[in-house]
Amino acid sequence: MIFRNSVKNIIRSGKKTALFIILITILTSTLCLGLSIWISADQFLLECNANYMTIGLLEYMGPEYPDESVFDEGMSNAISDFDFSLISGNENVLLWERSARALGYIEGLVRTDVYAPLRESGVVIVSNIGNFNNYSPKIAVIEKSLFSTRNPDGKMVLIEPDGFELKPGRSYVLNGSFTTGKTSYMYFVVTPFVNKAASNGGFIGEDSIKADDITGKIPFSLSDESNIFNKIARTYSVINNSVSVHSTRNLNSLPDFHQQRLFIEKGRDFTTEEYESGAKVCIVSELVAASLGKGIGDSIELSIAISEDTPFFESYWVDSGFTHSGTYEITGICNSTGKMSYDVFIPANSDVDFTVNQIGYTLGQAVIANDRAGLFYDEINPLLPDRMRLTIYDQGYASVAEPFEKVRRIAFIITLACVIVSLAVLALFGFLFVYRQRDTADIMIKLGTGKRRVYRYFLYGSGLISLFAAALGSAAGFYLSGFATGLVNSTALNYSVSDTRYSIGSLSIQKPLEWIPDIEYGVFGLTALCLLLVSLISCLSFATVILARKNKKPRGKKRKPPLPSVKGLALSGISGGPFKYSLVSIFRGGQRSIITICVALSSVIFLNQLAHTSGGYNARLLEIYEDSVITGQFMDSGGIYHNKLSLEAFQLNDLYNSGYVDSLHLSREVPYYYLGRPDPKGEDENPLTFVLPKEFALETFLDKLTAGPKIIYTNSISASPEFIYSTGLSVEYLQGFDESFLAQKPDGIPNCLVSTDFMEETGSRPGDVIRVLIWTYKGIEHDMKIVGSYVKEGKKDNIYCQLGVYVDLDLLYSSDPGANEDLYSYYFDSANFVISDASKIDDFKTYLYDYGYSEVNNFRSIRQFIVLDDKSFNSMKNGIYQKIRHTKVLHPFLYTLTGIIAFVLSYLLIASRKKELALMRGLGAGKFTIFLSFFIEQALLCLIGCALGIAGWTLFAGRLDELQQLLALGYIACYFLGTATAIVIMNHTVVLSILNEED
Amino acid sequence: MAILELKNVSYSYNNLHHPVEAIKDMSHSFERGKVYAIVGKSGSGKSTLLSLLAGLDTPHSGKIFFEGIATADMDLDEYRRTCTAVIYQNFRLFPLLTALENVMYPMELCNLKGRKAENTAIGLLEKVALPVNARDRFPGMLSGGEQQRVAIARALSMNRRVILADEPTGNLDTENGDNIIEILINLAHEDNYCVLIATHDLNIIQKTDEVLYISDGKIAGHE
Ligand SMILES: Nc1ncnc2c1ncn2[C@@H]1O[C@H](COP(=O)(O)OP(=O)(O)O)[C@@H](O)[C@H]1O
Ligand SMILES: [Mg+2]
Repeated sequence: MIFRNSVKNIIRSGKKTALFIILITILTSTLCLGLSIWISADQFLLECNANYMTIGLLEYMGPEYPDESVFDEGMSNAISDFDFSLISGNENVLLWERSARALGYIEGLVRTDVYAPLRESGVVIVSNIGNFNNYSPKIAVIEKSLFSTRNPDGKMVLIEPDGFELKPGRSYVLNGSFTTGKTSYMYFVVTPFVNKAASNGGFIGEDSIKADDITGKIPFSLSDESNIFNKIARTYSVINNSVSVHSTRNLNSLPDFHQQRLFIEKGRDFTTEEYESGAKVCIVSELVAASLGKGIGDSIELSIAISEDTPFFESYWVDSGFTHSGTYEITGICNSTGKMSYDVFIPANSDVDFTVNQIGYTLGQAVIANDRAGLFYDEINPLLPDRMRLTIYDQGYASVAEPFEKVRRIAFIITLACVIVSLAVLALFGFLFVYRQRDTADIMIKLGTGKRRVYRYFLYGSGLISLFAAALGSAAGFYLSGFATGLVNSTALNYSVSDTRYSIGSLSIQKPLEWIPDIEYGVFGLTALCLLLVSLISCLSFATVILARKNKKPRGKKRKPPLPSVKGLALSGISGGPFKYSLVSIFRGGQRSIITICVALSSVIFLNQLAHTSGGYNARLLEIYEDSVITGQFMDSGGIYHNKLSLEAFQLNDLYNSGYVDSLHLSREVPYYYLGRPDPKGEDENPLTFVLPKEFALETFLDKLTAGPKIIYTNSISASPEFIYSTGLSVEYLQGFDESFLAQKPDGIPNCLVSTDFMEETGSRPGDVIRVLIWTYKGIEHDMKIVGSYVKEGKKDNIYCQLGVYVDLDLLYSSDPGANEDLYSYYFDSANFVISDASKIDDFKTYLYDYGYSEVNNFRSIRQFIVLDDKSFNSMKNGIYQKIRHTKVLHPFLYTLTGIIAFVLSYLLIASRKKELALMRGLGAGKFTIFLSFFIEQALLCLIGCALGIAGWTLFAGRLDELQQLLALGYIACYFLGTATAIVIMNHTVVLSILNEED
Repeated sequence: MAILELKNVSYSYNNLHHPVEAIKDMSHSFERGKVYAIVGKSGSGKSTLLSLLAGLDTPHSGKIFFEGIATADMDLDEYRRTCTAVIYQNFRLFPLLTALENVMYPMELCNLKGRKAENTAIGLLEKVALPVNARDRFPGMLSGGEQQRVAIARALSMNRRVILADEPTGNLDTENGDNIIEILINLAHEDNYCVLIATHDLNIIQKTDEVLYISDGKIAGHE
């Protein structure tokens, strides 16, 4: 009975029922789709998170970067001044680890590879000294080598004694290194012994140790462990056979493992317990394992030498010994590659502090929450001191995950919006289907119907509607899910965060991961169930409200609130009919009118706000283009910047003429040998010509020359390798000079800058002309005028000279294609530039791509690697783009939703006044009159609201753009349509029953 | 001559699942100057009959004649505007119009506007003895009896000759109810209206000129 009545009741209110079925169906299916896509995207992101690791690599871009064997005092100072807790304490950082490397020695390991650090070094005992020719090298026989990798015992050797006097008939012990000469002779250059660990520890003094006369003491010195040369030899032996020990708390965060240059070939990574306890386990390179003949599970005796502030290969000295020794079990074997062939990795252990000596230019790496790498970079980068550089390596996480982050966010917002609208709709549903029928409840109660039956009466009917609609909605969602995931996937695929080619942000390897849409169909059922439950709760609460009300007071008095006095409203002047009726309804409608106006007003403002944000983003984007300075650099294949790149001049000419770059900075280095200052009057008592040594001596000379300081031909000292990462460049120019002279064409004697140290050493002053010798297949004397001095930051006293001395600038910059040929023989060692227009960066990248330049991790036809420093530009641009994208997906959705709400609201507002409308009909009002009576009222209210909204907006924002006008019109259209539809539908109903209904 | 005449009128509610024949083959005629009581149990078809006579719908078979012309051949809107007026148990006044404006509403539908309409309306309200200070009040601020007076005054506007009252006293206390009935009877007897009152109130039945007993959509008898 109850059930039947209930159903009857539903069917009688057919239009309302249909409307709610449609609404609930749409909401359920949208909710299902939103929710399932949200969940699926979320799961995929979890998967991404597990698959990818993002690290921030902190490096010191010292003047000798990337040479790992030197000790850089500037870096040492920077480290002690820098507060690393800025990084370790950053909320986006999961693990921060200072680079922890040290020289290690494994019992039994003998290295014979090309990377063995002291392959050329030697400590040898020689006798039978003789003259080779009249020039300096002596000839001798190696009696015995205390240390050498060459097996030289008994062989003849030519010796460059470096000023040490070798007398015939005597025996000597010599420290030095072998070089391969042009003849079959071995060639040994005597050099002073250098070892910072020894000198820091006070084991060797200031005097240089390079040779000693040991005539008559040969048997003793060999076995005498206290003999200094014996000690040197033993030190050499350890260093030459050393390995590089890395201590870590996460092997995979080490740049080489992270970038998969190294990987575990056999065995396993350390376990969490091993990391936590700092267990005595290790992973060794393949070559280490092979030369020791060891495998997984075997043990090695590993000793570690850590000595404060020493170059890597000087951190051991036999008297200082090792800092730490222990037996380590091999758990894994990784590959050997290049310089990383003799490496040992151990879990970090608090007993051994590696950080007292910084090896190499890597300061450390932070493992960052994948999805917050950009934030981290933006927070940390500005805090970094001079020369410290942070690079993010994300293994391709961003490009794989970011689209799905967007998808997730949009799905979330859509879901949220749907939830809110659903709650509102279901509340309205309960209100209309239960509360509005409280009279029925009254009657039922009066008739003695039990409360439970009354509840059932309401719940059956409304439950049926929502059950049907929710089921329909989830079924629709189910059928649409394939389409929706397809849409998501194609959007995600076409979604490129930005052009990441050549970007410093994409130095990382890119691991692929594919999204397999995995829709949880359970979600559909659950969503439908939730909607059903909420609708029942809504109905139940309204039922409870009316039943509770019933208990308190019997049918009360009139529920009309007091209305304003009519006296104030002078309406009699307005001619009668629908227009008057509308105005009366507006003015006397009270809350009803105000609500309509407010809804229209807030909707228009909401729409304007949405439209405005998308407009604002475009403006912001232009600003970013305008303000951004993007630099580009030529790097090596690993993305490492240095000054030995061999860049072809004709390609740089093309780059210059491409129109995409400004201020192309180039440098070319040539070693020089300082000769002196020519007499300005030309009456030199010292002609300053240099007689080049011959043959072996020439080689030695050239070796020394190559290793020595350079003339750097450049058009900018601040952009040269030594200073590009520094802001501390200080130059004192001669009156009338500034940095621009370097870029100018030389006129007469070329001008140059020398270091302050150089001036001190040579006694030269600004304005002086200096003469140097440079070597280009032959020695050439080269005069330059000092026009300024700089404080050097590197180790060498380089001379900065005008670029035009090296190459004719007209030719270099010539736009004539024929110039290329003339440029074939010119090379540059480093180049960097500024992009002239940030908005054209993508075109520029396409130019580079088409031209054939390589990217790090992506080789192309030209083996020159360009890296554009567009990290912060991209992150700003992406921020905006993301919002613009949002607006493209989300805003249309919100626009539509607002439109639907406008339609439904206006429809319901009219539908709720069916008695009034029926009465008009009953009194004989024509359909058109009725239409106007209601429509004019609603239209005016809506227009007033919109006008207020627009006026308010214009007042606040100054203007209304096209989209905003369009949206306001759209809102009005939806509202009008809802009103009109409702009136027309009601005009077609038979009002007879409405009028006969009891209130 | 009869002002209203039913000839074999049938009407049913066409609900989807449950068609209800509310009026079955009914014939009768009503004259001016008389008060008719329509009596019957609830659900017998009284309201439906009055609604058909009021022109809210046309019969599904048979015809209703107003002054000899079939309502089906007339513009029903105009018929409702000028020929008949209904008074409901729940008064059915526009809540946002004052008593006076409610009375003026049908006039305005007939293009009678301004002062003239207002004066006519005031006259009508005086006729139903609505207190002067109640004219400018909204229905919500009037008592039930006052509201029903306003409804009668509205029914009298535009000089409609047939007044159809559907349980007009149902929501009123006895005293107010008696007053209302008095007004209605006077309208028939003094102003030559044709008045139909659907009711089950015996007091009312006694005062009317003719009583129609309706049962199950048929006229079961009259006296
Ligand atoms: N809107 C409607 N839909 C279906 N049946 C209705 C409707 N209105 C009234 N009825 C039925 O028509 C018959 C006559 O009703 P009604 O004219 O209201 O009777 P009365 O006014 O005498 O109580 C009843 O059986 C009633 O149930
Ligand atoms: Mg009735």
